[in-house]
Amino acid sequence: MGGKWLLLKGFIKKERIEFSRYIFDTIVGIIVTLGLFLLLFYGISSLANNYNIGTTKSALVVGYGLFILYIGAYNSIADTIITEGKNGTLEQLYMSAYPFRWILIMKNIASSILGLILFVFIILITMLITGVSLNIDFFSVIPLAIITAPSFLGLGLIAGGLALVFKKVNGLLQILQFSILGFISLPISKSWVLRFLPGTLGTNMIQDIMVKSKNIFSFNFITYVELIGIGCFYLIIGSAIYNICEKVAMNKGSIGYY
Amino acid sequence: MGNYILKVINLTKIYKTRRENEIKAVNNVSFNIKNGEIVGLLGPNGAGKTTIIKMICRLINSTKGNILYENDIKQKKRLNMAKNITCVLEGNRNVYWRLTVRENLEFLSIIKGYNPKKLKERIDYYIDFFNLRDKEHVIAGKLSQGMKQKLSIAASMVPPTKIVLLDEPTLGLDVKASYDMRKILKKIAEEENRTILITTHDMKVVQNVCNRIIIINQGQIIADDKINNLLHLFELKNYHFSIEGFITDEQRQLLNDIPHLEIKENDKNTEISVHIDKMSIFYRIVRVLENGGSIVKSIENSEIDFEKAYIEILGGIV
Repeated sequence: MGGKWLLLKGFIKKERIEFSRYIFDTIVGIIVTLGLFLLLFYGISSLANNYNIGTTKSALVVGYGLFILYIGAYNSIADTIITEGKNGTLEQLYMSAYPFRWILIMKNIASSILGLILFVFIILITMLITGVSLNIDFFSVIPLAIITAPSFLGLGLIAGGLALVFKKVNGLLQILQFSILGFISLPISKSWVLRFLPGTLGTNMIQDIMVKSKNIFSFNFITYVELIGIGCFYLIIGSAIYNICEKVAMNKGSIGYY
Repeated sequence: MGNYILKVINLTKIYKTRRENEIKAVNNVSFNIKNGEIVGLLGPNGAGKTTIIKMICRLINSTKGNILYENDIKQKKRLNMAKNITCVLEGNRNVYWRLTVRENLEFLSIIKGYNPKKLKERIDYYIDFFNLRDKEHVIAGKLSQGMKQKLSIAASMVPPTKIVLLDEPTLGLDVKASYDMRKILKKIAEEENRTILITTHDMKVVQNVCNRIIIINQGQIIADDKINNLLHLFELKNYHFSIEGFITDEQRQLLNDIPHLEIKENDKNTEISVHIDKMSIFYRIVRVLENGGSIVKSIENSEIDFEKAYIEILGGIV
């Protein structure tokens, strides 16, 4: 575990250095993220001018925050493979003393920690700008956000594996990004099937906490078993597909070849 | 196993193309490397050198064969090998352009499983060794090509791995940077007790740095010997005749069918250089010169550099 902790600390330090060294890029990223949200928010508000959409507005704020959080977690894996491949450092990561999957997961955790900070920041700023009031129970939200993340990690591993083999997979990555938007915004109350989609159950629970003022103890044990089971399922599927892709790439000799 | 640190056994890599054709990139290659040896892996483009390096690093799966590290660590124990082998790959950045020199050395040590705090002395040592002290806090993206290459090699030297693989370390460098890099490599060879496998087209690197050469062509080993033995072999087989005056057309005709024979004339003399694989050819040349009345001033073994030897090995003379 000591080695993996060292690896995680290494990635957190690297992310922090790049985050602060390229502060202009970071600030522009945050402004664009907030700007897009405000366009979306006021666009929907003006369209539904005559209707009471108070709950929808709250759901929109939370949904957008969750989208930023999970898209970061999902992107981190495929993005690591594509960016490091293009930069010519992917092979160095592959020649690591740790299994490459661990490298991806640790880098993902490091990105997610920053993503979580960004999530909290964006939620607070958007609440301030839009005047939407939310139940800020981060004690309930953060653990649920972490338990929900493995589903998106699984999707990230699938995308990463495909990037390793096919290299140019931007189209597919975009489709998956839009799918994530769907998974986050689908209401599980409409159909029992929806809760088994990656991340849908967890994000619905987070919405319930933040919009309907529930807390972490408002859900029963079975729901948590389901949530963990769904996360494990997508993580295992993602790992299996990634392993197959990695083997194909190593047989083709195409790791790092971009 | 003896004291071999790396043993490559019947290594084969076959790529299957879309049309169901097969390309044998590496064909049944075997060699052993002793602890502390500095081996040059040479061959023309597409000979299979980088494929071998990448198979040793586990970046490519072999079709057949095995790679043993030290005594009993087999191919499957990939991570143990990873902790003991560092590699600088040709054509890659190998380092992070957004991190400084020191940050790169620290981060890449972590990737190899070493705590940079425990390697602080080594990091400082190699920063000085590679003359990077004044660039220590400069981001890698702002370094010159030669400096970046130095940093890549420094990053491969900092972790206390036993084997360092360098794929074309002087490729793409200008004359000055290439000269500096050769000096650095020579210093590594003299001062470091590391096992180093270098692929290169730079014959000066081969002659200055390596103590053993493996030449590979079309995926197969065609020579594997100490560099001095290979040079000596050529010295014994390459002769230079210095003749007073000019040889006749008839003599030229008689020598015409001897392969690898070159005749040059200057103002007063004729020089004949030849590579012979049978002594009978040597006697034949002597007879032709004698019968034609030529006065042979001297017969000497030609001086040969490794570049010439290499080209002749590839040409199939040995």
